[in-house]
Parts: sequence; structure tokens; C-alpha cells
Amino acid sequence: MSTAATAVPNPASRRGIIEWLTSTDHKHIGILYMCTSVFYFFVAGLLAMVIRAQLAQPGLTLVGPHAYNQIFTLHGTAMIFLFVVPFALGLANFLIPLQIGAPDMAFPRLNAFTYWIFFFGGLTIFSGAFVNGGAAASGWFAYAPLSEIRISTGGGQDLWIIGLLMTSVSGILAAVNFITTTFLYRAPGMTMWRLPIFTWEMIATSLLILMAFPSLAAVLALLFIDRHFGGQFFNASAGGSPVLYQHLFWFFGHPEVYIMILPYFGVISEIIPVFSRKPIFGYTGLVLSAFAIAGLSMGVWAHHMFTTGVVSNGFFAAVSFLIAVPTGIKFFNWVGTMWRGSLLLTTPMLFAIGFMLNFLIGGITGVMVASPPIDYQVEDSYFLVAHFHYVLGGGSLFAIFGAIYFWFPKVFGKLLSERRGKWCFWLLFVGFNTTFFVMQFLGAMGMPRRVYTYQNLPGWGNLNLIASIGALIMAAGVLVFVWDVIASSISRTRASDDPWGGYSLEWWATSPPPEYNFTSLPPIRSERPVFDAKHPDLARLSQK
Amino acid sequence: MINGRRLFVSSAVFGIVIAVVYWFSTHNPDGTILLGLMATALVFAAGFMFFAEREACLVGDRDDALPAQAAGERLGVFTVASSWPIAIAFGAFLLLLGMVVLPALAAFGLVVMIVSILGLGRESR
Repeated sequence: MSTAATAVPNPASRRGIIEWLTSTDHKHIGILYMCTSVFYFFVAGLLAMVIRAQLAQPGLTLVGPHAYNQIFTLHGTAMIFLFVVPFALGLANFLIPLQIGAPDMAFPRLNAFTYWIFFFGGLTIFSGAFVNGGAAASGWFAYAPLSEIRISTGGGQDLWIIGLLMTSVSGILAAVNFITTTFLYRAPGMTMWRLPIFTWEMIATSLLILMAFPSLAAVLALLFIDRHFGGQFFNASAGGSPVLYQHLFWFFGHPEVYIMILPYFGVISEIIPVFSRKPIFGYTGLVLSAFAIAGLSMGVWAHHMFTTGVVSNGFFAAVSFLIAVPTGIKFFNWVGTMWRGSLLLTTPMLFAIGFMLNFLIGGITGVMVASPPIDYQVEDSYFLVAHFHYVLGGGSLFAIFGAIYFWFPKVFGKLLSERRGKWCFWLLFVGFNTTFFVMQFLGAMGMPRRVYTYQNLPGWGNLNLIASIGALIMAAGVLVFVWDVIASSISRTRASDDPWGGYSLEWWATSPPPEYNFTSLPPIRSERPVFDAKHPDLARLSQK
Repeated sequence: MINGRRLFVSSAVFGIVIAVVYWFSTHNPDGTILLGLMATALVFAAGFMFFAEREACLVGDRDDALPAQAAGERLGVFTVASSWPIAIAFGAFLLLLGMVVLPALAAFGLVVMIVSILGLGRESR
């Protein structure tokens, strides 16, 4: 095998805690991103448990209305901005240079800065809980006038704005780094049409971040000006427009949904072929559908605003329906890959299949609420809560667990337990569906979201109790996962460099990979260079 | 950089087309301005790629290239450690936090940021 191109090491390498604080190695930064985001997942999960305890029966007063508002605001904010997106950025940080055969990211110091500004952004958001008036309580999209200073008087809302600004800067800079690295630092022979699907999905995601995040930064800055410098951008009584806030927010907010799901489409597209023992079916279709989804997602923002009555429902409904087409292509590719494959039902594969089943429900209910007449009926009800949790919880969360079980041996050199992993999967799968499936019925019955308690109407109490029991089952699944990580980490058994028989270049590196990743690289003649190097006869056959 | 050029040029064309379609479908100025600004940013990036990176030729774009051809090639200095990124982020954190809770903290944060940026500049030279 050939020697890789060399990177010149910086002599100032350090050890211990200082190494982690000052490291610019993409693998360290990726691990920091992922560990921090998983920590926020635990925090947001605990908040969710409080929500489910409060709603388990009608009329409970475990928490008051203002505390409840703060809890669901922090839960949503943490899950979206501090867990699902940063985990993808962390995974991409770890994987992209490895998958393209590069020694590091294009801008290592900028890369470190993106992590630390995200880290401090998260601290800023949660520090709101310790100031007068408590944390932000206006929901994760902080609609004006609810988030204006005359209603949200405390400093918690300001800290939420500032924290989010910091995380949005982090996202934009990370996207610049991903795009530059992928275009400039590919190993010889790693043409764009040989990139692993995860890397392709991250290019599409990065492009989306560059198009959507500036709108978030703008709306947060305008809101801060409104609150502290006499701005009237969103004050209707002074000539401003609260609807403008919604336009600016959702211009970011809907692409954000795809920023949260496209990387995980990539994860699933990496896991399924390896455990089907086949190349991915329809590589080109998968890549093009990612860009189709990214493009179309920039034209659907106002489907969140159907009920305002001031947007073109026809236009936004049509474009929203269209997104189902490239998403369907991806499903077709995944099913096509599994079709007649030698399926190995390992833990990552179970999570991938769980992702597909859950995301299918989220996708179908998404098409339903893209229809204005249905949306008018279920707007702000538990039907919507069920829908977006099926997309982001049943979708992204299951893919995240799949990614952890799949790449844990590469990242830490230890293999997680298959037995505990399967327990974790089934508890999460059963718990998740118990919690959120019934919410669709609650929504159809008219239960509004964001209420801290509710009346004892027929069926509501029982369905809410079932949802809360499901949350407990999920919590048990998460505990099994924590146990698995601890037990596997202290185990002396080391994972091999390629425990799954993987296809892409990260499986060529040692586990964990050394500084600058590779000492040698195989020839790259397809999107499966490691498979080709290990099975040259099959590779020659498929290239013919 | 032919791939980067293709990506940003096609994205810019998409941005322009969707902004025009949106305006004629809805006559909504808010959304049209947002899409127009998005398209402008993409045109800017595409223009940079088109003119500044016209001659760039990367070994990663050649489908017959082998890693051996890049063996020993110096890709550049990839620093392993730097204290300045965390220091700049910490300064920004104090500056922004101070704007809400304590102006003196904001001033201290600004100083930390400026010193760190200067330190990063000196380190990068």
C-alpha cells in the first residue's frame, strides 16, 4: 500500500486535560462535540421526564405554569441546538477527514473555535435558569411578541438569544470548514463521485447551514435590538410586524429540520450496506436526492405559518409535498440495498431499521400537515408534537444511537456489547412508540401542546398516562446505554481496526486513529476502497 | 476546483430561480427578499469560485490518481494544539454574558478577546 501525503506536525503538542482544552486535532474536537451534545441530551431528557410526570394525569401540580414553560423551552432548545445538530457536527468532524483520506480539517484552529463557541453558547442558554425571572420561557422558536421585553422581562430570554447566536456562529464556521476540507483535501483518487454518502450528506447539510443560519443570526439580533435598543421590528403597535419574525425564523427553522436529518440519512446510508453485505443501491440517486431535499427545503418555510392567513398556502403546500419525492427515493435506495442482501441484525443495523420505521411515520404525518386543511385542524395540537418527535426523535435519535454503536470502536478502540445494545434498542423502540404514537390520538382529540395541565376529558388522562409510561421505558433504554458505555470502556478487550468489515476509508485507519490519521492508503477506485483492498478479486469484477 | 464551482453555480442558479418563481407565485415581499439575499450570497460564492479558483487543479479530482503520487507531498502545517481558539471563545462568552448581567464583565471579555485574537495572529505567522 502507498504512503499517505504528509502533514507537518506542530511541535507544541501537549498532554492531559490541557491537551483536550487546546487540541486542534479534528478527532479530539469531534469527540468533544459528541460528548458535550450527549451530555445535553441527558439534561434535555431529564427535562422531558419532568414534562411527562407533570402530564401523566389531569390536574397535577408538580411544577407551576411558568416553570413548565421554562422546562419545555429548554428541552426543545437543548435537543435541537445543543444535541441533534452538534452531534452531527461532531461526527462529521471525526469522520470527514478520515473518509476522504485527509490528515485533518482545512482550518484546525477555526475548528477548535467552533467547538468552544458552541460549548460556551450552551452554557449561556442554561445560565438563564440562574438569573432573575428564570430561563427563557417562550418556546424554542420564541415568537414575538412573546419573546419581546414587555412580556419576557427577565434576563433568561436575553441569554437564550446570545447563546443561540453563539451556536449559530459555530454552525456557520463549521460548515465553511467541512466544505473547504471536502473539496480541497481529498486523497488522490477520491473523486467526488467516490465520496462516502455520509460526506456527501454533510456537504448538502453545510450548504443548507450557510443558506439558513444567517437568517437565524439576523432575527436574533433584531429581537435583541427590540428588547434593549428601542427597536420596533416586531412590535405591531409601533408599525413593526410579528409575522416578519415568523418569516425570518422559519426561513432558518425549516431548513434546520433537514440540517438535523440529512447527516443521519448519511449515517443510515453507511450502516445499511455494511450489514447487508452489498454496495449501496443507487449511489447517484442518494446523492442527488440529498441536494434536492436541501434545495426544496429552502422553499417551504411558511408551511409553519399557514394559519396566519397571510402566506401563500398553495405555494408552500406544493413545495412541501414535493420534498416527499427525494425522501422517498432515499427509502427506495435503503430498501433496495437490503433486498436480497445477507442481513446481519447487529445493534447498529437494528437502530437503522428502527430509524426507517419511525421516520416513515414522521414523514407520512409530515405530508399530512403540509396540507393546509389538515394543518388548520391540528395546528398547535399534540398531533404536531407526535409528528416532529417521530422525525427528530424516532429519526435522528435512533440514527445517533446507530452511529454510536457503529463508530464507537473506531473512536475509542472498544466495542460496545451486542447484548446490551439490543436491550437498549428494544427499550428505546418500544418506549418511543408507546410515548409518541398515542400523542397522535391526543392531538386528533384536540389536546393543545404547551399546556402545563389539562382537564379530565374522556380518554385524555389514560393516553397521557400511557405516554408517560413510554417515557419511563425510554429512560430505562438510555440507562442500559450508559451502563454499556461504562462497562465497555473499562473492559480490557480492544476492538480490531475494522470490526464490521466496513467499506469507507476510516476503517483503514487504526482504532483509534493516530495523529494525522493515516500512514498509508489503499488505491481508491470506488466508493468502497477498503472493501476493494481486502477483496481485490471482487473489486476487479465489480469494476468491470 | 471544478466541483466546488459546479456546486455553488448550480446553487446560485437555483436561488435565483426560486426567488423569481416565489415572487410571481405569491407577490410576498418578505420571502422574496429573503430568497433574493440567499441567492446573492450564493452568487458571490460562485463568482469567487469561478474567477479566483479557475486554474485550481486537485489531485483528488483525478480518478486515476494513486495515493503514492502524493507520498511525501507537503500538504501544509496542521497545528496539533493552540490555546487561542478557546481563549477567543471564552472572551466572546464573557463579552456577551456581560452585556446582560454586568457591564464590567463585558469589558473584561472584550480585553480577553482582543488579546487572544492578537495572540492567534502572532501564532499563525
